[in-house]
Amino acid sequence: MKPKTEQQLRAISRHFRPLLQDGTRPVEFIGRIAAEVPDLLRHGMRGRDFRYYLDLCGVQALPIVLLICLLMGMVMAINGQIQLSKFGQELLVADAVGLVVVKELGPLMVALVMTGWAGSAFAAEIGTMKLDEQICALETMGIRPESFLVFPKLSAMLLSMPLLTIFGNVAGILGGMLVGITIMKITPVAYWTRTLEAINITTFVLGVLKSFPFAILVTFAGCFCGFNAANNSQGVGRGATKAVVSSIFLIVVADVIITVLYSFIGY
Amino acid sequence: MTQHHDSNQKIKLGIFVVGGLVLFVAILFFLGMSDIFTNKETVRTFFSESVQGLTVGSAVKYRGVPIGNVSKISIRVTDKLVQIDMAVELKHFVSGSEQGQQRSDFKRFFQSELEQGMRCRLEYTGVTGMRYIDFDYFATPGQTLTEPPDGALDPDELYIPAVPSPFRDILKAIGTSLDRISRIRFEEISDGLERSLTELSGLLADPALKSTIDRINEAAENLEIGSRTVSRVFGEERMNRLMSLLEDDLEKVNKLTEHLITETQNAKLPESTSAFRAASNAITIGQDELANTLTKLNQTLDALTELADSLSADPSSVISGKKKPQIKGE
Repeated sequence: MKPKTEQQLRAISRHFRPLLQDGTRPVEFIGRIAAEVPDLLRHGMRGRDFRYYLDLCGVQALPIVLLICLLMGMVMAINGQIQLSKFGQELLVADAVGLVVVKELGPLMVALVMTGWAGSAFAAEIGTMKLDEQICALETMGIRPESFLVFPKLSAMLLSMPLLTIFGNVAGILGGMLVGITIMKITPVAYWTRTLEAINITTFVLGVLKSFPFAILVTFAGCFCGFNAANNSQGVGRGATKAVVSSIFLIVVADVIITVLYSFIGY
Repeated sequence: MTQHHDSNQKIKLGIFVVGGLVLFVAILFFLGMSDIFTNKETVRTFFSESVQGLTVGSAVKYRGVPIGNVSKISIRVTDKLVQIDMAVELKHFVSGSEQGQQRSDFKRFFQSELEQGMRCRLEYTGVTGMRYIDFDYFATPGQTLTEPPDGALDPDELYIPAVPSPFRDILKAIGTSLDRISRIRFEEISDGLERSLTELSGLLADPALKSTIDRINEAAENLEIGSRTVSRVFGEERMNRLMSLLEDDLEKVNKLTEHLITETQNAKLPESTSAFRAASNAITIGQDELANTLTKLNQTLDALTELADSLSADPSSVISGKKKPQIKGE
């Protein structure tokens, strides 16, 4: 090989190496977590940590999730009413709100709220621990920080996200019903009957199932950004921001993929 | 303090998890698990036409009332009929009898309805193309039931014959119309139209027509000028004056008419007329009497003439009297 060509190839390699490393780092992180699963199954995890994160990601997030989903349902119902009233079909607002909330917006809105609520908190927490060299201390004590810090968060998120999605779905439907009863003068029974006609068990369960991959993505993105945050206060802030942005991006991409997969089975 | 906080946290977590799970189960129950406890009866039918738009879960209605859903759609390979199983919810049929008798009551009701002419038919839900099955009286009472295909029905299953949907009839009508349209000789019509157009263009090119149009134009211009003149002559002020004069004249005419009516009334025309009529009658009678008198006078004159003639022929007859007439042969 000619020396000039070799130099050019080395220059290209120097440019692409960081990008490649950036690309492989999340995969490596997932690998490290997966490697700890047998250890987790053998020894379990600290119950106190799990309770703390379940409280943070579930109980404390519940009011904001309910409020946002309720408002989202109301907004959808008002917009639906404006369009459907042109055809004299205001009652179909119940179908539209019920179906969209249960199938799509409920899980998605809950995931987005949790991105801001929990994902950024995970990144900031781990980033600060890294800054204070607590992670190094854990490693010195022979504790694997990945399993010690990630699994309680992941478990709590896997339990709380589906429950929050169920609560969010009900709040969204109630928001639509509130608009239907007050603005469109639809009776609660009629609205409820239409909603039950529009959605079925499969739609509801598939919607709730979406929250599991969303929970995994939010936790992994938050923890990964925390572990990879720079060792300074600005780095922690940037890590939290990066966690939120990357989580939102990953959730939307995952939602598209899941929707396509659901379409294969007719939903 | 920490223990108290820990206990509170656990209670909150418990409420959150249990609340979520209860909600999950409640939603599942509302969305269909309640169907498990619903009393249902399967009704079967067979369609020879396409069931496009009908799916599992499509509504089944009895005279517009939703009574159940389509539970299964299958194709019979032996005769190519589409077999439809419908799950009819018995809660929609109120019989007043006990819960256990609901099924037998429904079966009795169903059989009597079939005898009354109840059949099922595919109907459109709306403009979306979705369809439902409607139970209604599509046959005359007492009409013989179409038998289900051999071996297609279990002894315990209910069967309802299907009638073709109205859409099928519409398609048939459209087919007939299209067939009739295809028989129309468009080429002949086109040729005739072309000939007419050629003749029309020849007529339009005729100089006589052009001169006629010119004359019409001139006449129209003259008419326009005349109309302008009239509008100039009969200006608004002049018209008003003429109208007032006309009104005056009309008033005078009215007065004159009233005067004439009064005069006529004063003339006692009815009385005069009756007097005239009486005089006329008297004249008529006098005329008749005069005619009689003249007739009698004529007769008298004739008698006198005859007397004078007989006297001149036989003057002695004044003394001797009239001779007897001589008879021939005496």
